[in-house]
Amino acid sequence: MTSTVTAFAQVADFARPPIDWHAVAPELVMLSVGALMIIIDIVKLERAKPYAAALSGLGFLAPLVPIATLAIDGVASEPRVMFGGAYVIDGYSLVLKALFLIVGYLVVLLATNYVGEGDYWETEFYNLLSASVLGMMVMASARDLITIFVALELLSIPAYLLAAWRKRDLKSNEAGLKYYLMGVFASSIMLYGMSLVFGVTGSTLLTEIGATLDDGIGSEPAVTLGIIFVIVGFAFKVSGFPFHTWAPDTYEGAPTPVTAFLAVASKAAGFVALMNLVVIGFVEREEVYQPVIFFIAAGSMFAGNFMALRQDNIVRLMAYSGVAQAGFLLAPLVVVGEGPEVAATAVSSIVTYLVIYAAMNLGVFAVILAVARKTKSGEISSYGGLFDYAPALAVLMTLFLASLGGLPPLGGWYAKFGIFRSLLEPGTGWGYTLAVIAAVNTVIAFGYYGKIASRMWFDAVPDDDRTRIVVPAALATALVLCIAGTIVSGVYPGAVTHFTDVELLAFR
Amino acid sequence: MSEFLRSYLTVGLFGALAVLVVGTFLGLSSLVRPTRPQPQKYINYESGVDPVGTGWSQANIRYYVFALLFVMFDVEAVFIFPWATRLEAYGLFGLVEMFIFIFILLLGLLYAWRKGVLRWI
Amino acid sequence: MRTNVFALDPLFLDDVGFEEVGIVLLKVVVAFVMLLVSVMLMVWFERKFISDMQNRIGPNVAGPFGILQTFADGIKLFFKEDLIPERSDRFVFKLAPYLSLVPAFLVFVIVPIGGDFGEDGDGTVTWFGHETFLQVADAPVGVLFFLAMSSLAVYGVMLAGWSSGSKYPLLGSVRASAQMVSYEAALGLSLAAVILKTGSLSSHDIALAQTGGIVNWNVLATGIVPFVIFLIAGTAELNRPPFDLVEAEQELVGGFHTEYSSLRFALFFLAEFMNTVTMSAIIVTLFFGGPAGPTYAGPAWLWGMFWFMLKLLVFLGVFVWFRATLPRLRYDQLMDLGWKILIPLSLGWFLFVAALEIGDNRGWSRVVVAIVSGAALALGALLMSAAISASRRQRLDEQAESDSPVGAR
Repeated sequence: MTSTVTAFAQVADFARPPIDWHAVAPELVMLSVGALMIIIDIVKLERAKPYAAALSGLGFLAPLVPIATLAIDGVASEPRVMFGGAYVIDGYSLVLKALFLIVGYLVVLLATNYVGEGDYWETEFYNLLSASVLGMMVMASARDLITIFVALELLSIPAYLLAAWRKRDLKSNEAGLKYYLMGVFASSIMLYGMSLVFGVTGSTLLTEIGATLDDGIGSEPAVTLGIIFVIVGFAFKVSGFPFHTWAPDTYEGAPTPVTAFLAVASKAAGFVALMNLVVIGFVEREEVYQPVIFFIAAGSMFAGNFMALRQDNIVRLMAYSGVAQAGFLLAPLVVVGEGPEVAATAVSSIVTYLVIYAAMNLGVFAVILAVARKTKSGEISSYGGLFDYAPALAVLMTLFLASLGGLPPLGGWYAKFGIFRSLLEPGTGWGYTLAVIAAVNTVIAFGYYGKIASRMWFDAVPDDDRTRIVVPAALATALVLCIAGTIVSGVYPGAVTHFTDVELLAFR
Repeated sequence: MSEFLRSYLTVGLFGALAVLVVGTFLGLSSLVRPTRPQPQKYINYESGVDPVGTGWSQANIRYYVFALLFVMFDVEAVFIFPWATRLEAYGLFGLVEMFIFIFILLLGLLYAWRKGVLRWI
Repeated sequence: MRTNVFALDPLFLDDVGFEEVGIVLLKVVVAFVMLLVSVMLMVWFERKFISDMQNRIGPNVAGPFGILQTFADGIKLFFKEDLIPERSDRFVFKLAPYLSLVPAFLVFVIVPIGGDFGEDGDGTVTWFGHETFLQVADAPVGVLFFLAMSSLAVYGVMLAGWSSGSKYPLLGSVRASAQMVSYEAALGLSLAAVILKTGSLSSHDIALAQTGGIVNWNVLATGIVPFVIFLIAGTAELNRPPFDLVEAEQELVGGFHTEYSSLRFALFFLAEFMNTVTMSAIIVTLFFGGPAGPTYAGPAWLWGMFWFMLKLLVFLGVFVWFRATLPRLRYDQLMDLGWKILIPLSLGWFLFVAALEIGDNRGWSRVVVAIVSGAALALGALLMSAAISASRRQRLDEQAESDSPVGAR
């Protein structure tokens, strides 16, 4: 062949990468379940509708089996590293994968009646949900810029569609469009940042980026800019201040189960990516990310809480509460540069928080869904006198809200305690300041959580409509699971920390 | 100059020549052709009657859907073409991968088909 | 790390001699003129050939056998008044002819039009002591360049229709863009089989791999199916009959160029016929060995050119033949053909060829490989046809329920 072919011949000879099939089994199971659901949809069309929810629920539970076998196999102590360190299955990623799957299952429980009773595309809803969860599972293992980006797109794009699922409702369309535009904007900023980081360090592997930055090469302004862009991009994803503006509108317009999914799973995936990037990749560039994350974290707490105080709509209130919680979750990342032990505490405190937050926040959304079945409204005033005619729901809601606020002995208390501990452990000014800010905000948060609670317990029933609320079985199951998680994690935190006491290490 | 750059420079030269020739034609023609403006000449053609409404009407959404589907297949070509040039290097492993990839891709096409997206009206 | 930019040779001229520059310029000019002349001849050829098929005389006044008819038409259009509708987007309106014509020119760049492609030739020709290819440029991504240019051609058509600010052109242009992108997918996928056989994207390498007899031609080596798909998709890309819905006179007056007049109209016309010529040349290069053929007395590169021209003429004839015989498709038939037949078929056949190739290189029995991969593809086809028949049944049921006549909206 002639010279033109040499350009291709110069490519290094390809060797089939060793693939640890057991380690990627959870993702493969999830993928095949997704493909199976599409095939069933193709073959059966409308006749597949009744089974869609059940099948998708099973689909979320099935990958837990290989996750369990991997855990028994001792992955936590002997991580499986693939593709030169781009894909790592360790204790950390296993816990998060399990979390995403369980959240996916709970969202299916929340959505079963909502989607089934409305005028919605049903099988597609669950397909997209599982595609999104698959992206999150990949994200938990991703230790490479490209893998992170692909995972991010895989989890975001279905979420954009899901946010606009109420096709004939203008608000939902607005929600989907806002989320989409903001998400794409954030992705492009992040991608630009990633390309800057790659350009200077010459590698997409986070471990190598970390090593290069450690050598002092990374003091170039391009890296600084790159790190800021990447963090800002993910700040959009986790709805951190000042990039949180899409959250209330999107949460309000999107179907409530999707809102729950966005508020819990999508946000958690953003934090996972941030942890991977900051703790492994950028950890040596403390002077860059510390002020940025400090600003975002402190700003999110204040902005979220103060805006939440003024809300009349419960979903918008939860959106702003979510912004404030994002501030709490971001806080420990400020101190991860103080040393490996501090980083380990910070990571495990964030993972613990994510798990507990999932339980209590999904619980709140389950109650909102149950109440909305009767009131058809999201106004906080419609919760007046809930205790009179639905005492169980009122009690549950109170417990979830108290947990979100951080009252012992509920889970939220332990989660917040972990955050405070990791902030105070290194004993630096950044940590102390942020701890004080967090403490102040914990108090502010009681203002609006208490407002809902007092409405439920003390106000009169609007229009004196005391018809009972019939909670469907799926929703009831979700409520039971969430309250169990919330209470157990507070009363006996060891049950959670046994799993979430994980470290995020760099593997080569 | 590398062979690689030279071939693209030639392509650029060819393109520039094409632009130049078209431009020259149009320029020369504008010098010699008559211009006798009448308002009626500049009305849009609409089968002989005066045009009604604006010319930029909305087009059928289906065109857009097909364009979206096209993007799916065009992006997939990004994956298929490099593999096709290096078929032997990736061997059986690559073949199996490609079968899986195209299977998933066809699943997408089949889905669109089955949901009636490909049905024109 | 940081080198002084000014120390570099900005044009990389250090090892380029006068002859090399001369050869490049010569090739560019010759190819350009050749293309223009062949387009003019093509227009005449089409009119003459089609009139023979329709039992009429056709152009016979200007020059011998009317061969100068195109030239006469061109001169006439040159002196016509140029009208730009007042509602149009003037800038885009003027830009569109360029966008249509320049890609048409550029595709021809990658076509090897001659050279020693004999039994053991390497496709080169020696001029002034320099070995060179008889093609304007041999881009390493030649085939992708062709695909890119044929994608760009969509812009010319689309913007021309849109910028007119008129209804028929707009309809024509949205039709055109949907049609062209639909068949673009099939075009690219059928090409993949050729690339697989050659292992290179360079058009020169593809032509070179087909030397040494008809069995080496890609049309046989890839098993005819990719060629058929390419021919159909290529015709659709050209917006030629039977795929000329873009300018279907009965429905859309003149399609996207309704509002164009004078030389601007002539440029679209030119681009259309130039695309026909280049598409034929591409087909010859990719599937019929390009200039490959037996060489006899005389310079081998001239024989290459002869064979290339002969093959080109055959395909030009085929395109005219299509126009004379095939009735225009309906739009739904057009889309069905593209998406439901050509794309799945090209994907399936591509995998089949890949499986055979891999099996051959490992010394497996062709029959076994064919049976196994054929079974896998048949399974896929079965799934597909099951889905299709089910959806057709469902549609018929729906129609029966709604009690509307078949085919109504």
